[in-house]
Amino acid sequence: MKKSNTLCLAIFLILTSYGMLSLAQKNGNASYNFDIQCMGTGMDGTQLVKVWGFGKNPNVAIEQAKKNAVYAVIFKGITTGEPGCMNRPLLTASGSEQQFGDYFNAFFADGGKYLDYVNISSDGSIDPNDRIKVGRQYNMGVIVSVSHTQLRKDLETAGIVKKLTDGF
Amino acid sequence: MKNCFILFLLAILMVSNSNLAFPQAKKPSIMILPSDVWCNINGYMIEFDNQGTREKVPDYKMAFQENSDLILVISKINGMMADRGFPLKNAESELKSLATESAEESMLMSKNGGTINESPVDKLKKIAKADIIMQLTWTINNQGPKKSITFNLQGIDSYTDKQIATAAGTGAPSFSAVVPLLLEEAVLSHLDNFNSSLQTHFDDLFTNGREITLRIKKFNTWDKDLETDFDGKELNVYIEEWLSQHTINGRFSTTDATENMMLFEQVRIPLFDGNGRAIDARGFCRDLQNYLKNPPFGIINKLVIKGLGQATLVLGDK
Repeated sequence: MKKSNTLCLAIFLILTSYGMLSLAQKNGNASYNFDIQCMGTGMDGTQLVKVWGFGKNPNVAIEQAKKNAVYAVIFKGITTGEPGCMNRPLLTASGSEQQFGDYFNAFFADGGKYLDYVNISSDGSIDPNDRIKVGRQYNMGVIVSVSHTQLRKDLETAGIVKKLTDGF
Repeated sequence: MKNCFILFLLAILMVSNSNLAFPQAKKPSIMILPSDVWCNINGYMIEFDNQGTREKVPDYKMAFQENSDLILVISKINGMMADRGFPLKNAESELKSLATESAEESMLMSKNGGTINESPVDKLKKIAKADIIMQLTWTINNQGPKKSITFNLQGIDSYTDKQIATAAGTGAPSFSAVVPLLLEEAVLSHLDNFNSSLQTHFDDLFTNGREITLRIKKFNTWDKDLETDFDGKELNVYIEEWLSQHTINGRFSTTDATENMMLFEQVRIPLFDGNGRAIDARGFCRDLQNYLKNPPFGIINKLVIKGLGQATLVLGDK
């Protein structure tokens, strides 16, 4: 009886720790460390970036890269690469990510709203040099376009980003 | 039922008074103008003799009439700013309105033969103006067959002369793109960064108050000056004490002070008065005007303003 209780506890601990890990990965918020470069200005209100993402297989890595691109536009700004991208992030106030944690957890969940603002460019074909296998993980570099104007507008409507006219 | 009715009435009152409950600060006006450098490079300058010195000033009218690239850039920026809720004042239209207004005023006459009264100062003030000037410069770089654009957009506060927003950079060189296309790309690349720095300026304005410039001067007909004693203290000290009490966190700099004039810069004034009404330099200085009118001073004075952020109080007469 005692042995089965210990086994149950072990299984519970493994499952919860896996659950926490997958939640962090799913939300994309854990992936602070990624490379992103500006590739130029796209159509009205879009910017073209090359972004990298990790994952257990190429598809997961590409999805993570898309999350990273939107994450960079909102929280980091894009400071390297070609001119034309927004150097400043949409959210500049420190602690905004924590303040609107619930919103962004849902926003960056798998299949979340972030997908409305990011599109794979170059017909999904990926340069072999941008496909790196690191141990059991894949690191994929993809070129995506991010609709930063639409993203800003929607975040303004949600009350997360201040409008330029706020207070006037 | 009665409670419901009272609640309903309260809701209507709150909605109708929402402007009082959440007052709005005075919105600055923005206008785009080509920079002096751009006008000079492209030959849109007027040269005149200023008491023996040859001086050049930009000829905006000619620039707007002759340069289609300028119109394209302004139009693109105007569209994007309007999208952000900040439609810009159109400099070209403003210049036309001023010309029309001047012609109309010169023809206007009352039934008894009276004409519009206009002082030399009124005439001087008839210029195209805005609270924030977006100063635009671009140069076309040629590297062999390749062309690129260096674009510079500066937001200048008309009253403090500070650069409050900026976006500048050189675009990627292109073999085939024509200049208007490169310019359009430059606007798309830079305007969001410009607006982001403008937002930082507005955030600062809401946190630390509006920054204005205040000048105190005296008419030569007044027999007193700013060093005159009132109850054992000089007038200039009273003025500084008043400013210290009425500015946000007592923030202002006394840049110049003589017996005839005082210049205060970086004066941070509240955006709203005690009644929650939005105020600007004029509203703020009216209180100082009243303070100086009352005992122990009893100084008659004249308030002259320039837009939202510059005021001059001239002591000793109206």
